[in-house]
Amino acid sequence: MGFRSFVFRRSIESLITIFIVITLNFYLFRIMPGDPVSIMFNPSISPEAKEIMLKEMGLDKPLLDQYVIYLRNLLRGNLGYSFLLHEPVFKAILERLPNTILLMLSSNIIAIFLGVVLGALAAWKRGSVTDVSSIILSLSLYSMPMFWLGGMMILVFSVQFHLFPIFGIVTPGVEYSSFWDYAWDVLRHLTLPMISLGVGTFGGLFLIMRNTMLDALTEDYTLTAKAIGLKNRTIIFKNVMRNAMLPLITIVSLRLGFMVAGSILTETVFSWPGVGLLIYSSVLAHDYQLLQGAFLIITILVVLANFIADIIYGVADPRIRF
Amino acid sequence: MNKRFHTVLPVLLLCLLFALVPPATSMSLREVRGPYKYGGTLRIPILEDLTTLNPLISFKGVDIFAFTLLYPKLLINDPDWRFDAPYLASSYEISPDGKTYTFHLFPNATWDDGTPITSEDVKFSIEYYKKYSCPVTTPHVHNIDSVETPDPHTVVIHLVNASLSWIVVDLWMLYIIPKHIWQNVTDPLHFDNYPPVGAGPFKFSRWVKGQYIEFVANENFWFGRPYLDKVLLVVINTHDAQIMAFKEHAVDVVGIQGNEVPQFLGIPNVTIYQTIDPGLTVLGINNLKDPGRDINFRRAIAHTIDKERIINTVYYGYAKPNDNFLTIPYNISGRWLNPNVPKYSYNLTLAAELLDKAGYKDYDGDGWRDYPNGTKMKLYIETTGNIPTWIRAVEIIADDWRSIGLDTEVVAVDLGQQIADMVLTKNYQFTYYRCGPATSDPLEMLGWFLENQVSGGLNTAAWVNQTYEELYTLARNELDEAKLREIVWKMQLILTQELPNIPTVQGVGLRAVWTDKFEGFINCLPYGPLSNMDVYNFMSLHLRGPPPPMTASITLSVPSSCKVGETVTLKATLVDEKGNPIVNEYIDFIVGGTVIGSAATDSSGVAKLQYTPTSEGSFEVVATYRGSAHYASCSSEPSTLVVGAPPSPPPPPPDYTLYYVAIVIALILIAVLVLFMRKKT
Repeated sequence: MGFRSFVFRRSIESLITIFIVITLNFYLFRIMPGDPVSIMFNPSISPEAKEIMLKEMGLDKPLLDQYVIYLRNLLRGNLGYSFLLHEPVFKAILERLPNTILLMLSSNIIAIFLGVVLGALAAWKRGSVTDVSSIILSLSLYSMPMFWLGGMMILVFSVQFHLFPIFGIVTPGVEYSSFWDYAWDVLRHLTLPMISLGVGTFGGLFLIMRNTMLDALTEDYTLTAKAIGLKNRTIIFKNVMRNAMLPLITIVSLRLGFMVAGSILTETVFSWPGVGLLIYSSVLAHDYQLLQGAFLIITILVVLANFIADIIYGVADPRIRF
Repeated sequence: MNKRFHTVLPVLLLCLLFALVPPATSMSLREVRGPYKYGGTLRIPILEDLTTLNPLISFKGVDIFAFTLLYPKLLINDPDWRFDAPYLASSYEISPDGKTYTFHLFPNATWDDGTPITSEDVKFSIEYYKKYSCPVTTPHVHNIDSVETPDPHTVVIHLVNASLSWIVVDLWMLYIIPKHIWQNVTDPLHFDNYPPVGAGPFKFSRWVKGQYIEFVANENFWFGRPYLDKVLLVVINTHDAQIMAFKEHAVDVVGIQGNEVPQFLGIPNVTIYQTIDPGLTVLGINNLKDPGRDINFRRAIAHTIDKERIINTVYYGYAKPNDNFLTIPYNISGRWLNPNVPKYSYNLTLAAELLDKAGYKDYDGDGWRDYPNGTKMKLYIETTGNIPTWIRAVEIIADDWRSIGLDTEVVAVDLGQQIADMVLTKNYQFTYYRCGPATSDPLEMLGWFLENQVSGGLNTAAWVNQTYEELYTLARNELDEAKLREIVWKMQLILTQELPNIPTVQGVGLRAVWTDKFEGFINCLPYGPLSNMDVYNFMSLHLRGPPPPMTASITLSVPSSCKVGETVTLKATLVDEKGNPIVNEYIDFIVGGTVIGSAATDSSGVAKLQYTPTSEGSFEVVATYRGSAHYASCSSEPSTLVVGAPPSPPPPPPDYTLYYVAIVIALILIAVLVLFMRKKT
């Protein structure tokens, strides 16, 4: 099977996966008790107002009709209209997606860097103080609930030492005289959530990296490299790590694919206006359309990431044949 | 008495009632104004971002914040939760039959874009809501028959049915929208209304989505410009982060819980405002299922609610017990709460006796009470895990129930699930929740127990009572307040006897504010200062400290020229920055660099000084004001006074002495001649 037929086959599989996920999402959200209108337990909302809103949302139609309408709209590129935000779902997500990408990319860079470097170091110095302390540190941070870790960071670095802002992506009400002032303000606000997410999640990468490094270190080529007198740094970074990092390609790809979903807690704690926070609000409000749209995007990203991971893996490892 | 009398008398009494009862004396926004400092930005945290700026489609509390600041209503709620304070309407009258309301609009009210607000906008708004189905407003125009606009600042609204509560229930929900903007909007449900054109104390400035929304002071607000320059609603998504932001002075106000009060008490310049929450927390009982359908069971468990313990343990003392099904703000002026309703004291022994009497005994000897028919009884109290106070209160109740032999389990569910169970499916046995009224109309809360509220409405107990229904219908049509009170008291009596639900407590709302920067906080009902329905605090809040002096200006009036010695009048007019004359202040007049005198301004702000120049030349004349505590100093633009040479002295009067001598000599000569001539003859 060549590369082309591999791509074709994977594309069909991806489309089928996405379709199944769309259908499951559609019905799962509607299985939840209550609809977006009935859960508004508010005396100022008269029965007539509820009727108007139900009709406007299309929830007065039979379930199958709603599903067909939803699929038809999807084929036209219309993700629907958000009950919560009163705007198209695509617009709502697009407005917030850059914030999530900024946070997740930057935190993933930290996590990958820490995971790879510390993992390599720990494997090389297996059994030493470096190894043990790295394991303890990474597992401790990894096991801490993200909302707790974020809260503690705010308490220490924002409230106690006044180093960073407590919430948001920009300082409210400020007029910026230049782009760099704006960038600096965003960077100040990004620091804490980026670090808390990065250090809180590098543990998994660290363990995988350490374990694959340990395997690679027992390989014959490692012994050969040592025997021919290569420096330790060259052995680790040029020989062993390259092979050890292969499983990380898949892990990192999936992490990036899940970056929208993975940011919910962090965005909530730091009031970072991203897609994760949007999903959280949508769940509370039973905004089916927004949830369907967000989960569709997550699905597409994960499937795409998986697909790209397979290709990169094939490129990185010449032994892989499509 | 004849039949005609019986027909005429009620009408006469009604006329008398409306003639005697003036429009309610709600507090006007003007009463919170004073000589205060302008400036400052107020930052208020909100838990979630706004969803829309279209006031016709959203009920969300956070959106209502924006609508309150941006959109006018004819009347608004004042700090005592009276719903007829002047807003767009400066005054109103009600016709004797209660079906016609005449509103007089402020003549200087304008929209943000400068377009005057007229009665046409009001008429347009009401007709718009009748034409298009807008969830927020359309349900509240059905009782409006027609609207007339006899002049640009008078609106006459004719109702279908007279109602004492029309202003509270319906009028208050009607935003007035600008005709010149909305007349082209044919799909209001999908109109994003961005940027909004409104008319309120503040204007929309910008909305950074997910972050904050900024409002700036409306310079042309008809009650006067707010003292604050800006209001920021800042999105902080967790309560803990809001508390931290408050302590860091990143926001100026925060809502807190009872257990958080101690951490604020020691902080200087922090004040905590308390208000009784108008919402009522109840133990909901499903009257369609066993054992809730048994009135004897309900009366028994009414004695198992330890309200004191709930108040002290769950609310840390910040709550009040409730027995009436109406909440305390209704007792303003002692009007609506029935003092004679039965009270169910906390008494587990009595509760156990009543259960025994009702047949709920342990028939199978397992230690738990069973149904009167001997079947096993297990009780489930449902509540949501999202709200810690509810679940803790339920645990206390469940504990007491178990202690008297009721096998009870607490079920914590998602809030959406709980609401669906209570409202849609009635799939619960007992539930614990809070519901708050939107208005101070007692019939609103009492109306939650009607039959038409069972399916999908607020009658979560599914309790139906024919007498209660009849009383409600009577109440809705009653225009005599004293009679209405009687009916409301009877309805409370029925509720407290039948106990469809069991009222427990009302929380106390707590808001902490920083007082080092701003002052002028008003503790408004029902939710304290700076809630989403409060306009008064946004108009009264100002920076601490005395206001800076207002700027003033002088206009000098000087004749362009005069002569030495000629007295001229120098006139200076002193006004403030708004052009109002400043009275009884001294102006110094300076000519050629020398202060020549001072004069006080009269009632028109004019000071006059008489001046007589003593030398020739061209002189610069300036008037200056030294300033006062209220007004800043200023000087006029210099004028030039040209003083010319003194007028030539008048020629000396001609000297007629010689003439007199010549005349005398001539007379003497004539006399001599005459004498000579006479002698000769």
